[in-house]
Amino acid sequence: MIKFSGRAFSVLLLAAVFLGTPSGRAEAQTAGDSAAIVFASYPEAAASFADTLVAAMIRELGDAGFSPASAYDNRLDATLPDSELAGAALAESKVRWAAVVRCSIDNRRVLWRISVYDALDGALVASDARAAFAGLSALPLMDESATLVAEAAAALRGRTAPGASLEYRIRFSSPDDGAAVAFGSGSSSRLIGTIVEGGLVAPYAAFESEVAIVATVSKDGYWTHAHTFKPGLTDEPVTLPALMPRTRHSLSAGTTIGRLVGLAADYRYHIASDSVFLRGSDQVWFQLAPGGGSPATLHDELRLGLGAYLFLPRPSRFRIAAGTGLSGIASVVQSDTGPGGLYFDLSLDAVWISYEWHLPKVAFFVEQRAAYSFGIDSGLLRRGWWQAAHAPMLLTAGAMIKW
Amino acid sequence: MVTSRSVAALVPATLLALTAFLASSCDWLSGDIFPSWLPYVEARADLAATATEAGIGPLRSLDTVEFVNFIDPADDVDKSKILAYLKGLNGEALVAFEPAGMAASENWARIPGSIPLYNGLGSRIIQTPTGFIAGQLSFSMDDLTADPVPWAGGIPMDSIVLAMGSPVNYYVIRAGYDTTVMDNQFKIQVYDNAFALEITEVRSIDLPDTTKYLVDAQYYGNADLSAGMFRILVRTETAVYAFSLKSDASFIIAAGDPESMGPMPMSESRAWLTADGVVTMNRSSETYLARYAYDWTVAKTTPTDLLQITGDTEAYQIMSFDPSGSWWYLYDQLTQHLYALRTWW
Repeated sequence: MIKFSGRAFSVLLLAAVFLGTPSGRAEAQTAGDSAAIVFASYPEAAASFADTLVAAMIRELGDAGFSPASAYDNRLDATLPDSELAGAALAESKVRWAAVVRCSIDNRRVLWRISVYDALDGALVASDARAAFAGLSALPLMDESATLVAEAAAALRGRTAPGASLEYRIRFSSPDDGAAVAFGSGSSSRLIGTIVEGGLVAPYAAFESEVAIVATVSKDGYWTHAHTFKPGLTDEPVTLPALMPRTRHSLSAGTTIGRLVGLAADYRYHIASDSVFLRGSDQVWFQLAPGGGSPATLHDELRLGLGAYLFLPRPSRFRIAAGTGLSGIASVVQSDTGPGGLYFDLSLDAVWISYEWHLPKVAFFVEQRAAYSFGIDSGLLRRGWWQAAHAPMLLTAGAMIKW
Repeated sequence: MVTSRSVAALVPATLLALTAFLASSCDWLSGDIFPSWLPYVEARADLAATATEAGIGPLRSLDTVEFVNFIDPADDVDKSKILAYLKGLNGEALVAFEPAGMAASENWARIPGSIPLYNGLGSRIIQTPTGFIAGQLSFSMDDLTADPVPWAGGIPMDSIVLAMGSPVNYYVIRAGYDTTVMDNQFKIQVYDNAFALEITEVRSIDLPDTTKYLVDAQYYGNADLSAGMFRILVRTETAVYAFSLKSDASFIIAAGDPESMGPMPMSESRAWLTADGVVTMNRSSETYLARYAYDWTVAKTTPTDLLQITGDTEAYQIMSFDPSGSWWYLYDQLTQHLYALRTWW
């Protein structure tokens, strides 16, 4: 410990160093844990209190998760303000944190102040100042003061350097005319305007560059979207993604492997938007004679069912839907003399899973399904799970429009 | 709670799974849930219901299906029938189906303790100029409601019998290895309508193997043998060979070596002669029927066309091909449905 002299107060400088010895802002952000204490006192009467404060700070910083602190052993001018003392110590020792402890005697009172500075930007991150009767009763108060400061500093150990303030008004571009845009989300958000002709210039706000900002975009009939972005120092417009409409109806067209000479149409009515829906679909296809020499067989499948989107948020681009239902297939087998046998199969559409990529108005999907035939007498399928030529499940792909 | 980060992780994982799924499914591009042969179906019969109706109880198996072509010379009416021999839990029955629609028109049941005449009913069916013989009973196509007549002839197990002419002659055809002369031989014995032996003719047939079975035999031509040919199908352990022998009105078979065609690969002992070629059944990784159009000029044959069979292939039983090459019959053992199908060529 090194003692400074010549002033009516004591200065103690405690530095906690993290992960090495940072030489700049970037290094400071990744600094490690260690500590040093510089101690100076005048008059002598304050020395014992100053020692107590330093000891308390070393102990409390350690308890708060900092590496064990050590005394800063270079001489400093105790008349300098705390911030300059901390800056000088931080510059010389190249540590991340510096705690300045001042202690003085005024008549029969002891006065002290503990301040912790961050080498990242020289900011004061924790401080406490108190006065007490200069006796033994001051010692618990000093412990308490050290505890408070150490805990407050520990809470900010993960802080990063703030960016420079923006000098421009943030501009948004969006395809959703009429959508309201607010900074922040939830009840604390602040409305900044409405998208008009694809754009919005927000009122000036003193945001810092490279600091994440949340802009909440909302519009009737659409899912509210919270868009997070980090503005740069230059005035670049922020592109807001198109809002996803709340779907009530959808109509799709597609085709199925093994049923490529045909078309499937599917209608969904959403009981709850983008969540639970009823579906009805019809697929017509021709089964061609593999060796030629015969008319194709005509199949028509009607499906009715219930489905739901699972796992992912409702406005998600990628969605997984699953459901169940019933399937009836009418088959007309042509004979040489005209329409031949008419057959009807009834099946349980046991499970289908649809993988979908959604845009605001359209979506693309691939659907797998496993169905179980009841094997009714009028049908062609035996009782049991459907078995495609080489696969246990049918695959359908297509596109849907939504409104 | 699903977060945007977990969504981001889910998307590539799902797309990867889908890609793998599709990549592993190249063979699936041609397959639907319905069997490949469905477009060829002309009609279907529910044999379970037929067996019950015939009084033989639950159906156990289907032994024979033959198309019997018959145009009644009296009124030029097509009275052709599809005959099926069913075995049930309580007996056996021969059922005649109408070719169009496969409605059962007649049935004769061989049930213990029932009509003694039908005890002679059997599953081996020989088409005759006036009808057919099933087992030891002769039926007239002109009037299927009439009682059948006991048939005095016999059919050796290793032979195929053709009945032609008026009065009818029976041609009992065999193929085998004669250990006396150390030669593969085709033998035809002609019996008159009283089943008295009239002629026996033998020809050597050229086969690379001595293990053989007669699979099928047909005669194509005039009933008096003045212009026609006998065709036989002989199989070894792995292949089938077709032979063609010209008929002769006086000597049954014309002089000269028979023409041959083969080998035609087959994995089952099922092959059929049709007017349009030989059809073989093959089961390997895929099940298919192969047709070999007749070409007696090449030593090794390749299929003229194939029909891949999809669906419950293990449950399908190809029963027969009509010698004219127009129809074939498939039995689905799971559903107990018999299908009449058009040929694909």
